[in-house]
Amino acid sequence: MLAYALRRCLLAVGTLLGITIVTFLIISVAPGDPAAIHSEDPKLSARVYEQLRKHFELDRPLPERYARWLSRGVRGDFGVSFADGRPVMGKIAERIPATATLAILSILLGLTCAIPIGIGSAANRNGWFDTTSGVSLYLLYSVPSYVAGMVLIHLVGVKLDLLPFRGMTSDGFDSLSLIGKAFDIAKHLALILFCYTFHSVAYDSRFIRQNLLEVLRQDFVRTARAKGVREARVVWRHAFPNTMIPVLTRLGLLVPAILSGSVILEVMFSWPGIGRLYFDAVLMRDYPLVMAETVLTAALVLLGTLLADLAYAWADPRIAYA
Amino acid sequence: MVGLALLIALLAVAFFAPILASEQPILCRYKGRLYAPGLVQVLHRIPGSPWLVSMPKPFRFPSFSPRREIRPEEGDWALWPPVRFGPNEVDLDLRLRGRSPGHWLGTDEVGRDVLARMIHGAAVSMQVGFISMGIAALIGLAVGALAGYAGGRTDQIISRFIEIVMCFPTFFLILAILVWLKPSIYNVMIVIGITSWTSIARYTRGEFLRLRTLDYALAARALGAGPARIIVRHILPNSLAPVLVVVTFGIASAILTESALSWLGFGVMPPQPSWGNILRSAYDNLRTGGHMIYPPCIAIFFGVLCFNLVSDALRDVTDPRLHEG
Repeated sequence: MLAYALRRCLLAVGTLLGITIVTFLIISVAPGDPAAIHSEDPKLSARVYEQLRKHFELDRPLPERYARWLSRGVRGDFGVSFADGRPVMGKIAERIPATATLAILSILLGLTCAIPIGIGSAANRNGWFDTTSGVSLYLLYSVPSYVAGMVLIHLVGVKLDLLPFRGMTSDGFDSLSLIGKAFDIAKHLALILFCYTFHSVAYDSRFIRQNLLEVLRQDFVRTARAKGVREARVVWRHAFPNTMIPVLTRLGLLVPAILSGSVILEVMFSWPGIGRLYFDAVLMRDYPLVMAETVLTAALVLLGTLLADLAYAWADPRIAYA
Repeated sequence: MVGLALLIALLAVAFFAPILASEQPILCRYKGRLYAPGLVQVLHRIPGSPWLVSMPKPFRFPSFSPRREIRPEEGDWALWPPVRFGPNEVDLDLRLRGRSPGHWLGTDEVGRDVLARMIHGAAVSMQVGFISMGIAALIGLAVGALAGYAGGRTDQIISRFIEIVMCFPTFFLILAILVWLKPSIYNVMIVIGITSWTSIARYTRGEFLRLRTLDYALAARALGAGPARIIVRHILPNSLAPVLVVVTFGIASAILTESALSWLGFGVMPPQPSWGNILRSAYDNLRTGGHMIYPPCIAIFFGVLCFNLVSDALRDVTDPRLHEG
């Protein structure tokens, strides 16, 4: 197990290095250079342009620039933003809570909905619950999250005027009491959280159903039934824990899905998170910020898969020896 | 089957968009001569045809308005499309109107007919879906075939590379590349294509690893066929079935990505119609443009649904193991 974990971690370091190279190449090889963007003003002389190039270290060869950028990046310094001159890491750090709140709540909510639905439909296979939930979840799965977002904004936000859909807090948030603050954030969370979550509910409950059906076919389940264990206990105690292993892997893969989905939903709901920061950085061509965020999200995805793999090996030791 | 029927209907709408919604008549008699401007527009969708048949003269000019020029009292007649507006026909007097007998789905913020834009947007979505996944399939098949057939070191290096690319959330990668490109339908196709080949490559690699050890591949080698011939003629046709499933799923997500990018302003740029930018103008005019929300939402939903249904059906056919489950 330890050897396996070590090997996986070493491989991950290699992949991380690859991620930084790919990101660096995308930004550096692409046409247009940041010095030119900054000196679009025709009054700026060639001398200023040269100074800017020197400032961004564009006069150095590519490998040297990469090495410098990487060595600073390892120390957590991704440079300063073009937009306002603040350190990139600081700008990203202040956006993390908003996205993390969403992601964690979405995963928790998703699983608490998906597990009962999955188990319910597998326990009574081809029953009325299984068929109706199967069809409706399939249809739900084909609804893109931003389409649901638009419909909800129009129906709940504008027509019924029930819930706010812009930002994370209302005006005058600071003057509210603690309970009032929590309630205010919860109101702002409701719509965007739903859009974040319903996809994974649709997918996960079918996924859990499929896994559970496979487990229910196995010998130890038949043994349990033959002993006279009640059906509810067979499903919950004997079969269900065995389906959690694939769910662990699925959790690791959920990270990229959540991060990808975040851009359009966060822009749509004006949510002050990572996705909207990225979108704004792309709009402003704020290239240190784009680079830092691309590397960091990719690293996060890598971490998610790594943790999922390790958890998998821990839960099922056969993996590590394979 | 429902999926296939939906898909064919969608493709038909996309292809015949010029005779479904246009300011040009399908067929008409103008000043004693017979013209078919709508049919010519449909024909122009086939690559290469503009060199063979060109748009008849008066209908070619932007200032020429067939609706005014064709006068039944002078013996002219015309067969009009069901929606008598082009996707880019601006009418500033009719901005953001709701559904009406004239404009069945209302008009947008500069008075363009929403239904006409929806119909022409279908063509954009289908083009982006098919062409971008065509690019992705080419890259994915080539990379996967190389890795799977060569095996050993080559396989290790390529698999590593695929793993690295897979770490980037696709949408982030697409935006990172689009920073430097002008938003246009072609750039969107290319960028979606070069960012979504990884799963195709993985499936192809797996199939090649499995198939290259089978007897018929060995037999081909024994007969003296070179690697290129074995890959293209012997193994590739047998590995296509599972790849096709992935590609069909990919088309659905390419359509989704295109609409999302257009919504964000990085995809198809107005005035060119796209479901994503119709949805965007609804978002920008939430209180007065509510009638523009549902048409693109429903269209995107059915577009995604039909490709999901078709690819599920394909998977059931190509993977017999699933039948017992």
